[in-house]
Amino acid sequence: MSASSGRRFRSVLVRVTGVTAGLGAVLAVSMVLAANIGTEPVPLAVIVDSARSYLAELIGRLEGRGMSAGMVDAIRRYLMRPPLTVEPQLAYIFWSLRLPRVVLGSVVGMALTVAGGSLQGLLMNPLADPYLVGVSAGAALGASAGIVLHVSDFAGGAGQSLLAFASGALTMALVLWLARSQRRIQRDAFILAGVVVGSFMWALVTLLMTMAGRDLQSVVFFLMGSLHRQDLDWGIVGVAALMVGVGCVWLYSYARDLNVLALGEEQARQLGVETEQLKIGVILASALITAAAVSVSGIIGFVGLVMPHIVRKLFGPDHRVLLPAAGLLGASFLVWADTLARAIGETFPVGVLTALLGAPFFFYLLKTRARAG
Amino acid sequence: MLEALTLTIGYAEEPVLREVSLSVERGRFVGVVGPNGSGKTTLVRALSRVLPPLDGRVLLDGIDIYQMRADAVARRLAVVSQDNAVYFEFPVREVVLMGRAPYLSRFGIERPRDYEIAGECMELTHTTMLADRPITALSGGERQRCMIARALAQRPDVLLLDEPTAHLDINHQIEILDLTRSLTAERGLATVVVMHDLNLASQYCDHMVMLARGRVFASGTPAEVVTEERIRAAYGTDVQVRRHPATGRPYVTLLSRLPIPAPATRKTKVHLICGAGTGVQLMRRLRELGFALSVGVVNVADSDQVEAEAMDLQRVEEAPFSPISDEAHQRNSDLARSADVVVVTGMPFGRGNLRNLQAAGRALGTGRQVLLIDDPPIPGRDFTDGEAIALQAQLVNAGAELCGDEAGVVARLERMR
Repeated sequence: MSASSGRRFRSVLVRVTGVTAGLGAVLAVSMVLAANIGTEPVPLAVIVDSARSYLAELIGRLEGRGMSAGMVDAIRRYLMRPPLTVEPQLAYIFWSLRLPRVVLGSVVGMALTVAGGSLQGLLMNPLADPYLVGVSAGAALGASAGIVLHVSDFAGGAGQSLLAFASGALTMALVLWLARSQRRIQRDAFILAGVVVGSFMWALVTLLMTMAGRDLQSVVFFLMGSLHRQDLDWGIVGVAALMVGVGCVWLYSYARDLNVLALGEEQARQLGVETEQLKIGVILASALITAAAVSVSGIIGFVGLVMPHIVRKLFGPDHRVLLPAAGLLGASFLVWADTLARAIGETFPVGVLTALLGAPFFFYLLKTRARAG
Repeated sequence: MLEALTLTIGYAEEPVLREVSLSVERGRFVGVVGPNGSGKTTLVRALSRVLPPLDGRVLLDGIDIYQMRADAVARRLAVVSQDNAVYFEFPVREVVLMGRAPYLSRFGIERPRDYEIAGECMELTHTTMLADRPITALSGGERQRCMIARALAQRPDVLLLDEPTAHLDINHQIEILDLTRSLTAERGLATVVVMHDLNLASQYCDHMVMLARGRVFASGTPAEVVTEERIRAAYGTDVQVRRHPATGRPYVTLLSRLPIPAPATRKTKVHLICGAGTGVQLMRRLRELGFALSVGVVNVADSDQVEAEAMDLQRVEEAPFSPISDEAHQRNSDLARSADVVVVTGMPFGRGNLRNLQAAGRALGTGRQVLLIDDPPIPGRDFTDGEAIALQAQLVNAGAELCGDEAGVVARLERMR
């Protein structure tokens, strides 16, 4: 009996591995393809060869540090055969101009989708997304203030992002404080507080815009949500990726607790879930990655709202599968949406596109769900 | 196993329950009953480590559960709550598997042993065939069984069930109670069940706790707890409590306060002589059984008169608190003579209503059958210095039958053709 009933269950490890491998491959292919699309197509050979030469250079640096000259020489010879097609300009376009933007797109897409999926699970509200709970408005205020105050003049490119992040985190703290009563975070109050604080922050942003003068255009452009930045380099991408990576792992540690929470808050506590820790953890971690995303890309709407719904339809509600799947699919989605935006114009804001695509798709989801129910 | 010591429980420092103590041992099936708002669910919340009591302690094998980690408690104590809605469309097997959550570390995943246990719990609760269905698509009874499977997958020592049979059909109620009851015995669980239905509680429980007025109102065996007096005091309603013929356990019959508009379906015509509220239940019962009924002499505003009027019965009335007049006596006698059977309730007799017995005597004289309910016995309700006792003795001599109680009368009438 036990053997037969055992077969009814599919190990979550198998499902996670399968989904992650599949969607990870989709994302990798998407990124390479997307980075290759543009006014100047970069042949695959150039990409591969420049990677080979970079690798060879890296290996060269290892000489004398744990590797004998002979070994280094052997590997380098292997890497250099067949001979390289050297096109430094094309290689530069691919590695230093397009790929950072594509990677940033995937990082932002992953951040928004994972944050949206986690918040929907935590708040048991299909409308929850990173923008509903006020963080993004707070981060937008910080970034706008950074533009108007010209922080980048003395703090460099990271100044504006730092200000955005700090302001987003502070907003989250305010919302959390408002939603807390009787030593508990009330989930309904949290949504309400998020919406109200968010509106307040948006009002401040608008106020700032009236005083922005010559910087108004920069602020407006930032708020529209775009992956285009003059100062984009691997440093900015790296910091964003690090924060989003840490936040995603942090959120993933709550995946099973979020499943149990679907039985109800009290039931979850009776099943051993420390729900207050869960709420604070999920809110802080999603605030972290949302603020990180907004600080580098502005307001890119609907990705965090719609993508988790699609993924839930495809792979079921188990957050242990849902979160990685949503992250990878959200990343791929934003990579392609941004490619489309780039095709329209190098500075065309991708936020406009995601809203244009996302909203009708959400209507479709709503209608089909109503029919199914 | 599970012990509650003088718990005071409430919300925002406002106690709902005070001084609640109870103790449940392995293999025992303890029922918690009480009217709406008496704090049954509040008690379950306190016992399951979700509502810290304002005062008192909850001990699991001697250890205060509020001093234990949540997952440590969840490995020993499982709860099936009233609200079993699930937010996402998890398949049933995933929900049952959630019962293993307290045994897993943060990034831990279920091992074959967990699947085995979950599968076994599904077999026990007959939910195996539901394994792949989304929990949100199930009926209330199916979902409740899944939740019991989930609770069993926790491998608990203590099982708390909060109205597990609410919203279920009678067949599912029996199924779930049979299941939990037998699991309690087989696995040596200590089970606490909050129940709405006094009869189900009385049939299934070894021990019952009745909550009312913010405290433990009664506690003991079903026979000790389920009594007419206790229910009247706790619930504020009149019921009849009998012994269940098969189980010997107390059995509660609800008595409606509204008239039962049953038409007379029997030919036997009964004239009921009553007063001071002694006839209400019999009127309802006899109408229910379809007897044609007339009533006399009842004083206006007496509960017998109110009931007879509500049922729109043929009746003889007298002014409030007034002795039976000649005219009323005459009409009462006429109605008694026109009936097939005359029933006299165990009402108190004073000089004002002694004529009721005389009217019964007249009917007896014209060959009508007369049934006297001697409950309580006549000496206790004779306020005429023995006249009523003498009159009743005369009636019995002349052929009237003495019945022990209302049930006896009903049985006697039902046997008549």
